[in-house]
Amino acid sequence: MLTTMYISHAFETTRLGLKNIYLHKLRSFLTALGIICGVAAVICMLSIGEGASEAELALIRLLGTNNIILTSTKPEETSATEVRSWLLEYGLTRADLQRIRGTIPNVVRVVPLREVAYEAIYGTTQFPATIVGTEPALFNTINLTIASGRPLLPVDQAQASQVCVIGDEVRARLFAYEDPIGRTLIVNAPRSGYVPFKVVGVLSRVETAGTPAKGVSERNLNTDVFIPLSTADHRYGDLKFKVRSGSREMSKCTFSDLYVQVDELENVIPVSQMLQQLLAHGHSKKDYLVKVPLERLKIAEAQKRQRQITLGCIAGISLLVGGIGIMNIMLATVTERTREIGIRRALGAKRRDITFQFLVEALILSSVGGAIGVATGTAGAFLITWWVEWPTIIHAWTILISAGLALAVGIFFGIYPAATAARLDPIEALRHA
Amino acid sequence: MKTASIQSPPPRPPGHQPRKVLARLDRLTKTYGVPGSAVEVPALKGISLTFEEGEYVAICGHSGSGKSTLLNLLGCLDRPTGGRYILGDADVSRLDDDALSDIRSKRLGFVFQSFNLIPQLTVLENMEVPLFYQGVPPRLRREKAISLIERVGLQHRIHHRPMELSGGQQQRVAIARALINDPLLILADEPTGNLDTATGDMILDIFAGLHKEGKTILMVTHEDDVAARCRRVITLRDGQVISDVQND
Repeated sequence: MLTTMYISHAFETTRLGLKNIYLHKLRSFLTALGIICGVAAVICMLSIGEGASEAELALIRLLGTNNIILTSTKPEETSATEVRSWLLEYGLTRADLQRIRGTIPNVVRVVPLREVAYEAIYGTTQFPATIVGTEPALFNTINLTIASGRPLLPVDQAQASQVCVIGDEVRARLFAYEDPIGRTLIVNAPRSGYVPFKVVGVLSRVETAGTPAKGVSERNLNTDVFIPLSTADHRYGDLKFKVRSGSREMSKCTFSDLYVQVDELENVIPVSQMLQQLLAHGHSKKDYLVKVPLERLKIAEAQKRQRQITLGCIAGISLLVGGIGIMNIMLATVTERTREIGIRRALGAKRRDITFQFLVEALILSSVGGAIGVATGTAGAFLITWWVEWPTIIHAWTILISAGLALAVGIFFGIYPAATAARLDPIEALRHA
Repeated sequence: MKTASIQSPPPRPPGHQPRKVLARLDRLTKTYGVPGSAVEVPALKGISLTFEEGEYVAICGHSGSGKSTLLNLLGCLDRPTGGRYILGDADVSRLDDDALSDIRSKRLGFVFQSFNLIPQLTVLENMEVPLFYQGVPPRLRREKAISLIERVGLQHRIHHRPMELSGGQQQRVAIARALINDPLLILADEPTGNLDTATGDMILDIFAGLHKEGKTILMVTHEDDVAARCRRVITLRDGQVISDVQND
């Protein structure tokens, strides 16, 4: 009974507050504008921060947090003799692969990759794809999905078949108007010449919040053509030729990448340290890199948190300014309505009734402002994505936080004017002109 | 007009039936401190008065005589410095702010010189304010307000705002508002002060009508002809009662 009375009282006070706000439309709008801008800023800032991080995080997750990626790099040419040597030999070798498979514990599998050629042709179209020999296990190691057809299978590897699985970009460029499955594309390499490969599968497009998938391994999976490693061995061997502006360059790099999959997440860091040590013994020069997506993930997440805090603080300041605006107007309102306060007190309003009335008005201003701000901020985030092409992501908690902040600001900055109103002496207030 | 001795009950007309005492002031004093100094200004210097049910009292005096202070104390808007004020069956002179607010909303009706209607509320909403703070449900408030507005003859104006009404109409709304909680006392502070004579007379007619119905009315005024229409006239000077007479 008493509760229903309170609810009805609160309801009527709210109605009264709405009426007062409605009577001063322009002033109320200008007051709420501060909160609108503040909330919109919070949402835009957080969504930008979230979107920027998400692109990187998604790629890292795609590469698999359980994986460690070893990549061959061309060593810096230090001595004069090496410059003259006709064959540059570097990178990860079969011996490395054997030792990793044989000695490192907690490793589920090691998948080797070898880049063998850089040009794919279909009909009259050519495209600078990267032709990569690999084992079928790659498709289970990193989170690649097949859009159509099938992945490479152990039987392809066993028979050294001339089949390939192509990335989405390759499909789009070479097979714009037809289904690539079953077609044969030609791979061109300087010494091996034109070799035909039958397309058996197409990968789904690897896309992370607007930016092409370039990240940890600097490998753009969309422009790759995967062939069985055994076929690569037979057709191309380890030697790699590149014809560059008339001069021939020959290099030997057995594996361009090794994808090491670790059984448990907590073993990733120890295994990566073991790999560092193992490779340090076999290589006189630093011609490899050990990349740990998990570490990158942690760094990226830390950066994200930092960015969120920075952006959040900036946006929070504008919300604070909005709150001060509310307090300012509410104080002016209290002065303007001193006489009304006096009348209400004389007619039986308790101090807390007056406090409640003005607090409710501040809360209405801030919550309506907050609601409009959420709408504006969401629209703003879409505009940013559409116009500046920054990826933005709005989470439910972003909206909850910003709306909650608006309410908190309303309460915080509404309490002082409301208390001022309640403290007024009824006699003095009645005498107020 | 006869002058009675201070603090003695006014002489009764013959055949006077003792009626229920509504309010009793017992050596009531009020002293204002001047902020920032030790000087104290006495506004009321020990007032003892008794108000019975159905009385129609004028409180007169020049400005500075303490009549406004007395009205504020009677209206529970302020607390006395000394003495006691018994309203109905309760000593209200030592109650806290919340309890005083409660008394104001349940037992007192106010009519002010400047009407004091809330500008953004309609006539009906203004009348409902005292009931709102009592927690009376909206439908009951509305019924009561409508029945009272008919008595002051403004039923065709119930959804108007105060600014759309004339001064006399506003004061009639204020009187209706003062009646809505069935108060023990109706306190009127110069209710005709802002009105022309004809309108003032009409307002006084309403008060006279209320008096006939048995309402108890205390009216502060400095106009003799207004006071002359009341049944009992109390005159204050320098914070003391200098006369308390019954008009016949």
